[in-house]
Order: sequence, then C-alpha cells, then structure tokens
Amino acid sequence: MAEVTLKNLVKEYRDDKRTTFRAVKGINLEIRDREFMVLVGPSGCGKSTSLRMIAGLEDITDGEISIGDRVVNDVQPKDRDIAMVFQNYALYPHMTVFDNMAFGLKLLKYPRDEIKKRVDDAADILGLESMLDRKPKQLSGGQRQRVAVGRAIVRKPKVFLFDEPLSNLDAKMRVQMRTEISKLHARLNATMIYVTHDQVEAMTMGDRICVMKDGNIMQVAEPLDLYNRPENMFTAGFIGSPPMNFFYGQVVPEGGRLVFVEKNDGNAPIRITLDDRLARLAKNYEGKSIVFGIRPEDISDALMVTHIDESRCLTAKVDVSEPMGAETYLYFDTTAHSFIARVHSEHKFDFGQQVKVSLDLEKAHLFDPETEDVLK
Amino acid sequence: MSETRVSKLGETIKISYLLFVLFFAFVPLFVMIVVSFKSNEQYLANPWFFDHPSTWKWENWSYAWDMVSGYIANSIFVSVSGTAITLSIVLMSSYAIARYDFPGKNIIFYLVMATMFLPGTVAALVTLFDLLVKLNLVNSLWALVVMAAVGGQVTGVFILRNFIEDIPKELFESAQLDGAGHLQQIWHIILPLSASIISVTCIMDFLHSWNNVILPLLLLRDDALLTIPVGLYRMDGEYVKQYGELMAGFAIASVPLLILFVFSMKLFVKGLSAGAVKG
Amino acid sequence: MATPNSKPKNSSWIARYAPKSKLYLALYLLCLPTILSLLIFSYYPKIDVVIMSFFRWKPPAVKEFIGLRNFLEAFSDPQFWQSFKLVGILLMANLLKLWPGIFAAIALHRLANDRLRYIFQVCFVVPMIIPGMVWLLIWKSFFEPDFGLLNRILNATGGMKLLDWMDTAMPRIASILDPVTNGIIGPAFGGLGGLILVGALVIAFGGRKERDSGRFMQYGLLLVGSLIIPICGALGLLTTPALLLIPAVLIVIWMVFLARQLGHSWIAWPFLLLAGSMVFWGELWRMPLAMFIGIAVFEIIRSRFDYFTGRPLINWIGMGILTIGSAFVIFGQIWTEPIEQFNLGTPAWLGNQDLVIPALLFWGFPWVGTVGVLIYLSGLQNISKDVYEAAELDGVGPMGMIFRIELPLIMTQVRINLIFMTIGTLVQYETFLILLGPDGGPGNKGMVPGLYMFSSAFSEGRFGYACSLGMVLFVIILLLTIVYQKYVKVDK
Repeated sequence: MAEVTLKNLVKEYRDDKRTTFRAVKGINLEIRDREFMVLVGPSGCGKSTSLRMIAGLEDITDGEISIGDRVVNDVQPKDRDIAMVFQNYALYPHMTVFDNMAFGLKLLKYPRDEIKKRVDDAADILGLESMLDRKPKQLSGGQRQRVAVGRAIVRKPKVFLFDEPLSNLDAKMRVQMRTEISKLHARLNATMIYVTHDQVEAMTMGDRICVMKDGNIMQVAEPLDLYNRPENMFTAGFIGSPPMNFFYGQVVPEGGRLVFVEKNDGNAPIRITLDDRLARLAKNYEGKSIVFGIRPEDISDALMVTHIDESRCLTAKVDVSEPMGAETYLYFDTTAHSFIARVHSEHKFDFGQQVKVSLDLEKAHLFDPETEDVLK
Repeated sequence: MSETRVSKLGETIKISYLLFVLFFAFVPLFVMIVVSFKSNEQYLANPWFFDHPSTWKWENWSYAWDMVSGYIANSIFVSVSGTAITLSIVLMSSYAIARYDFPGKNIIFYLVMATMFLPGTVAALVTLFDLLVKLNLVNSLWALVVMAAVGGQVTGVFILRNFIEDIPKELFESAQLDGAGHLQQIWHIILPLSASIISVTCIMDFLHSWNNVILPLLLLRDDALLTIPVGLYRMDGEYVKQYGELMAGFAIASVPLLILFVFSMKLFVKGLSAGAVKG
Repeated sequence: MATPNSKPKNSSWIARYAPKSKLYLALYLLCLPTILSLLIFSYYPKIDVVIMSFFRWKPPAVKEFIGLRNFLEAFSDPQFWQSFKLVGILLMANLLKLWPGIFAAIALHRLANDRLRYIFQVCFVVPMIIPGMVWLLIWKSFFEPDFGLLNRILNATGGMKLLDWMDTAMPRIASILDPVTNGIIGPAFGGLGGLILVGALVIAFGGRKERDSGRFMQYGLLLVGSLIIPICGALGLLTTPALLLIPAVLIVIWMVFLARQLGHSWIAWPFLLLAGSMVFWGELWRMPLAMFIGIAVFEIIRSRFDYFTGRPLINWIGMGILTIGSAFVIFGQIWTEPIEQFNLGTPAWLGNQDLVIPALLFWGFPWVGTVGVLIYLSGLQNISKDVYEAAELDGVGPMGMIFRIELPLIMTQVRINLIFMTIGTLVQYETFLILLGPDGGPGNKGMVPGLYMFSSAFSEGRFGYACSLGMVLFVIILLLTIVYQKYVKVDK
C-alpha cells in the first residue's frame, strides 16, 4: 500500500535579507495507491518543490507527508521507498548504462545476480538491452530518458516521482515517451507522481490531475472532469489549448430573460441571452459583474449549424485566421475582448471579415470575477 | 595558424630563435650528463663533450645511487602522502562548501581564501618553525607531509569548489535517493567527474612539495631523512667536490619526475598553466 | 526517530535548524580537517609573528616585550635597506628579462607546423620537471672560478679579454660622465634618481585622456600629496618616531581623496611619491618641483597638439629622459672602479663583491621561464584568426604584428606574469641562500630581505627581530597583492 498524503504542507525559503518566500502554502493532497497523479501548473507554482519534499530533497517547513502509513518528515530520502526521475536525467556521465541503473542497488549491497537480473528486466521493459555498455554521452535524448526511468524501476519503489521528465525532449519524442510512461504505469502498478508544466501531458497521462498556482492547489480532479467542470478561472484557462475565452461583463434582465452584456465602453457590446441553466446560476448576480467563459471549440461557424438559434449567435470581426488543417482557429476582436473559435475549415476567412458564430451555451461557464470561482 | 603562404625566411627565424633559447635551457642538462661520466681531472681537461667510452666513470653513478636513492624515497614519501592527504581533506571540505548551505559556510570559505591573500609563508617562517619545534615535529618527515597538506588547501578548495558547483545538483540528489552518504557521493560522483581537474591540482601540489627547500633544510637533521633538494644541497656542500658524482646524483634525482611526466604530459602542461594563472 | 506530533506554527530558530542539525554536524565534520589544519599551521604562526615582532626573543631562554624597538632597529638597519636595494635592481632587471619569453611565446605560437609546435612546447615544459635544486646547483657550478663553464666559455671566445678591456674602459667613461652628473644633473634634478623620476612623472601625466577642467583639481591634489612629506620633514615630524603617525595619517587621507578623484588609476601615484621621497631624502622640496615639471610638460604639449599627436610626443619625451637617466646610471655609476679580476682569466663570480650582482643578473640566461611562456601562449591562443587577417590586409608586416597586434592583446598576460615575477622576487630567497649562504655572499651583496630575515633568526638567533623583518616584508607584499588584485580585475 503506498498512498501519499500531504497534510498542510508548507515550504518557506528565507534569503539573506530575512524575507521569507512561501513556495508552498499549506496544501492538502491525498494520492491513492497505484494512482498516476500529475501535478501541473505554471513555473513557480510550487509543484516541483512539493515533489522534492516528497522525495526528501527539500526539508519541510511545516505540515506532514506520509507514504503508506508512515510519516516520512524525518525519514532519509533513501529510506522512503521512492525513486525519482529528473528533468535533466541526472545520469552519471562516467558510468555505463548498466552501472547507472545498478548504482543504487550496489549501494544497497544487493547480490550481484539480483542486480543483474533487475537491470536486465528493466532494460527489457525499456528496450535498452543493446545499450547497456554505452555511456550516457553516446545516447540520444529519448534513450537517456529511458535509462533514467530504468534507474528508478530497478529499485522497485512504492512511489515513482517524475520531475518534468520530458521537457528536454523534442516534440515527437515527447509524444512517444508519454505513451511509454503510461504503459509503464499500467505494467508496474505503482504509485506515480508526475510534475509537468505541460497540460497536454497532464491530460493524457494522469489518472487525476492536481492543478497548482502560487503554492496553492486550485483543483484536483480526473482529466475530463477538470476539462468539463473547472472549478475556477485559473483551471479553466490553464487546461485546454487554445485556452478558454473569458468575457467580463454584467448580467442584466431583458424581456424576462437574463442577458450577459459585455463590458465594452463606448462600443456596441456583445450580448448573449443566457439559457435556463446559466440563468439559474446567474440569478444572484443580476446587475453585478460576472465572467462568461466558453471554450473555443464551443464556438462554431453559424453557417455550419443546421438549426440556428439567433439568440445564441453573435457577429464579430476576424482579426487573424489560422488554418490548422482539420480546423481553423479564428481570432476575433470585439474591441474590449479578443476571443478564439475553433471552426471547421470549409470556409476561408479574411482579415476584417464580419463572421457570425454560434455559441454552445450548454458548455459555457460563469465565474465570479471576485473569487474567480465557477458558479454552481 | 594554417596559412597558405608560409614564409620560409620567417619560419627559419622563428625556429632558430626557439632553438637558441632551448639550447641554453638544455645546456645545463647536457653538461650534467657529460660530467657525470668524468672524474674531476677529465672535467677540467674537457668539459664540453663525452670522452672515449672506455674512460667513462660508471662508478660515479653507482656511488651517486647509494647517496641519492634514500633521498628519493623520502621525497616520494613526503610528496605522495602530502598530496594524498591534501586531496582527501580538500575533497571533503569543498564538497560541503559547494553543495550545501549551512550556517558558517561563508566564514569557512573566507577562512580558507584569506590565506591566499595573506602571503605568510615567508613572513611567518620563524614562528612556524617554533610551532613545529613545540609540536615535536623537528627531524621528522611528517612535518613536511603536514605542511604540504596545509599548503595545498587553498588552491585546492578554490578550484574544486567552483568545479563541484558546476556539477548538476540532480546527480547528487539522485545518488542521495539511491542511498549514498556524503563520503559515497564524493567517491562515486565527484572523484570520477573531476578526475582531470583533480590530477592537475595534485600535480601542482606534488611539484610544490617536491621542490620545497627551506622547511626540510630547517627541520631535517638526520642524513637518512633528507629529501632530494636538501640532500643534493648537502652533497654540493661537501668540502672536496667530486663533480662527476655530484652530476650523476643530480641526474638520478631528476628521474622520478621525468617518469611521472612521460605518463601525464598533457596534465603537466595544463597543471603548469593553471598554476601559473592562479599564482 | 520520526515524531509525528504537530510542530509549532511559527517555526522558531530551533525548530528551523533542529531537523537539519544532523546534516550540519556531518558538514562541519567534513570541513573540520581543513579548518583545523589551517588554524593551527597557517593562522597561528601568522598571528604569532605579529605578536612576537614586539618581543626580544631568543629561544628557548629569552622572551621579553620591547614594544616597537625591533621595527625601529629594522628601519635604521643599513643591511635591511641594502637588501631592498638589491630587490629593486632585480625588479628592474625583470623588466628586461620579460622580453625573451614573450618573443619565444610569439615565435612558438606562429610556427606553421603543428607538430613542430607541439614538440617545442613539450621541450619548454621539460625544464620544469627537473628539480629546482638541480638547476640551481648546476648553474652554481657554472660560476665556479676554475671548473666553471662560464669562465671557460669567456676564455675560449675572447670574452674575458673584452671584460678585461672594459675593466679599464668603463671606469674611464664613468670619470668622464661624472662632471656632467654632479655639475649639471645634480643641481638641476637632484641627482640621477631625480632625472629618472621626472621622466616617470612625465609618462604618468601623458597617460591622461581628457583635458577637462576638473584636471586642475587633480593637479592640486597631486601637488598637495607631494608636499605632505616635505612639509612634515620641515616641521621635524619625520625624525621623531612617535610623531611619524601624523604624516602617515595625512598620507592615508590623501590617498582616499585621490582614489575618489582619479578612479582606479590612482594606484601608481603613491608609489611614485614614495620613490620620490626616497630619492630626494635630503632635499624634499624637489618632490613638488618634479611633480610641477611633469604637469607643465603635459600642459604645454597638450595646448599645442591634439590628443593623438600630443600623447606619443609626451611619451617620447618621458622615455627620452628615462633613457638618458638610465644610461648615466649604467655607464657612470656602476663600473666606477676597476674590478681587477679578469686579467687572470678566473674571476670568482660568486666570490667577489663586485661580481655577485652581475652574476645574479646573468642567472638563468636566456631568461625564458616555462610558466611565463605558457601564460603568454594561453593569451595568444585567444587572439582570433580574423584579427591577424584583418591586420594583414591593412598591411601589417610580421614584425609589426608583434607590436601592433600580439603585444597589445596579451598585455593582460604580460602584466600577470610581471606581477608574479615581482612578488616572487620579493619573497624568494632560497636561491640566494643556496648560492651565497645565509650571509648573502661576499660583502653581503647578495642579501635579499627574506634571506636577512632567515639569517637573523637561524644564524644569529634573533627570532623577535626576524619576526619584525617578516612583518615589514609582509606589509609590502600585502600592498603589492592589493595592487595586483586591482590590475588583474580591471582586465577581467
């Protein structure tokens, strides 16, 4: 059993001038046994620091970390039953691939046969059999990464920790290694904690994702929950590419219905008539400011929609159009906001053209601009 | 420079200048070899070149070997153990200083560095001698070993700290996760990764203690304990000089470093330039 | 071990460090050998030498506090000053001994054949491998009067005859120059030293870049500095030891002002003035005068020419004065009496008090130090090929290349090497001990400060006095090290 539990975990750095910087601000997180948990967030959000505290490489300012049933705050890293894969691989340049993988076991005084068996097994899993005699310098980026993973595997730890392991690879290699690590997780059946800043990695690999910002956890959820039901503007904006469009404005009653009116001084604002679901959410916000959020793929070219509901349509000026092949990204400008739509590529769009788009209000979200939380 | 046009005249001038300089640099060595085969009478008669091989005085060499071999053994003992102790001490402290933040770290570092800017070895010779007398280290090779170890600290810590700071810290962290303690991290990571820079500093330290004159001159009394420089100095000071024996002794005394040099030519060149730049 | 009880929210100092204490303990243990060995064998003797310099100390019996008397004795000890004079001569010689090494490095660097270059480079390293003592003793044998190769070469080539002829010719030249020195240069400049100092001052002023109005402030400051010592001398502050503190404080204050006014180029001036007060010891009023002449030459020339023609002109004038001064010293001051050693063909180079210093200067011919060559080479290797090609297109010949391209570009390395040589010359005394013995050879002519310290302690048993000599030496080296730090930093 290897759950990892973080309780009120705090990390403070103190520099020479006696100012303290809180990198992690009291987070609580429960990682289940055999779960693939991804910590994701922009740089400086405290995700790596948290991981390094779990590893025991940083000491804990306050709070508690337990692995399994054991509180590990004061346990040496080597005794925590974990293994870690680093961003720059951290391979020992003077050792062969075999020695790199065997190093930890040698220190633990494993018998030679056992070491050889474990390394061979790991090499087999990772397809490194033919490279065991090479030095790291002679390997490609992807191969090095595999050796780094292999070094973790041979120790058969309860928990694997990955610190942005793919960010030094090129795009193609990254996709490949992504699936390999996922497969590995399925095969090894161990708890894995994976830190990345790349939301695509987070979405594709994680059983659950923990979104962090400025030392706080914003949301912990399964990937699709996170995508479809973000709890705050940060998560909504961070997950998904291109990101969710946000419109700042007000909800005003108009002819018995609630209408979202974009905040757009002096120009003709966008008006979106809210449907019943959104209206229910917004009923306490009549006359107050609110944020309307909708993902680019939920905005479609009105010409392609069969049953046009005029109340859900709006017309805006195309600023840039980026044909991606299967679809086209349209960047609109309403003078107060710019937003992006992902539309089919059937039509060609010109700069400055007025285009009518239809919004899928079922998938839209409303946020409180003060708390940035979603309205539920 | 790989110029297409090579001026014949220019090359000749350069080469002849270099040959001129090197000629004078090597004349003493040549003379050493020539005279080592001569008796004083032969030397007086013809110092310029070898005599007929049948008149060569091989016994100069065997006599010199009896004299010098003991000095060589002492020098090797002092320099090797001094360098080894320096290296191990320096590795430990520069590892601690380079890798961790701990209270007093800067104080320790400046304590080491300040000795570089306090040129005390000359000024403090008298009190150092007094200290060694009090510690009962007179007439002991260990005094030289200890002083060699002390002398190597400053540059060693300075160079190694910079080097260790440049090693990615994930390597250490990874080893730490694998269960390596401090000494194991030094042994398994620093030592192999910084092998070349370590050997350069070692060569510097080695040369330094190999050539040290003043301290052994002051400290060593017994003839059996003398190191090469002092031993040779004593041989030279004998009342009636046998130049042939003396020169043979010089030649024999030069051999150990020559052997070392042959095996580590590149490191020597590097070490000497590095030693030159740091002062 | 693990105590999962809740920790205080506001982590106190103890709570912050307690969990790390085990780590810290390990780290301190790792540093302990370094700390201990340095404290015992490096710091303790250095602190002890400061303390013991105030003692009359003859181990094991005598140890008695005597205040500053050791220092006072040192400053009035002619032997001590004599030893610094020798260091001065050796330092001057260093300026000349620098060149063969530079040329060798350039020649080596320019060799077209890579393999040949490598072979030469290795050959230059080999001498370093031979123990220093072996070199020293072989060279010593060269100087032997009967066996020594030097005399035999001189006899074989006729050099000895030349020396014998010069032994009569040089004193004659000196006697011809003497009236000029005493009749013209003496009254006008206060002696040859004064002439040389004026040349140095002119060059120093020639280095000024701008003719901004602020320069008069700087001139004022420099003149004030040159007046401090003469005025203190006139007031009698220099003769009573207790009052020496006043001029010292004044000079320090002046140096601080100077540093603020001139930036990092101030460092040469205190040395020039120190040299001045030594040269003009009897007639200190000449110091501000010399300073004034320097300023005047600069201002007159710069008011007639622009910067680009004016500066070289000033340098030429300064160099000219320096050359004339040095020529008068070399031909008029050194070889004034016949030595009468050469006629027999067996001069004892290290055994005659007139020949010791020439022998020491000749020492190590052709003066190509391995370390120096390697330093220069590292500098030369940093010069990009483009620079050479550009210079070639501009029509710079092979000789021009040395002075227009290579030398300016390796100035940093030259400077570093010069500083090493300088400090080495000040510190090093093993050579002199081994060649000449603890007394510095015949007439103590080969006594350098370090050797004097050594022999006071270990031949005369005056440990306390040796400590105070060591302190003086230490302060001088420390000052030089500071200068050296300053210069090297500027270029990095």
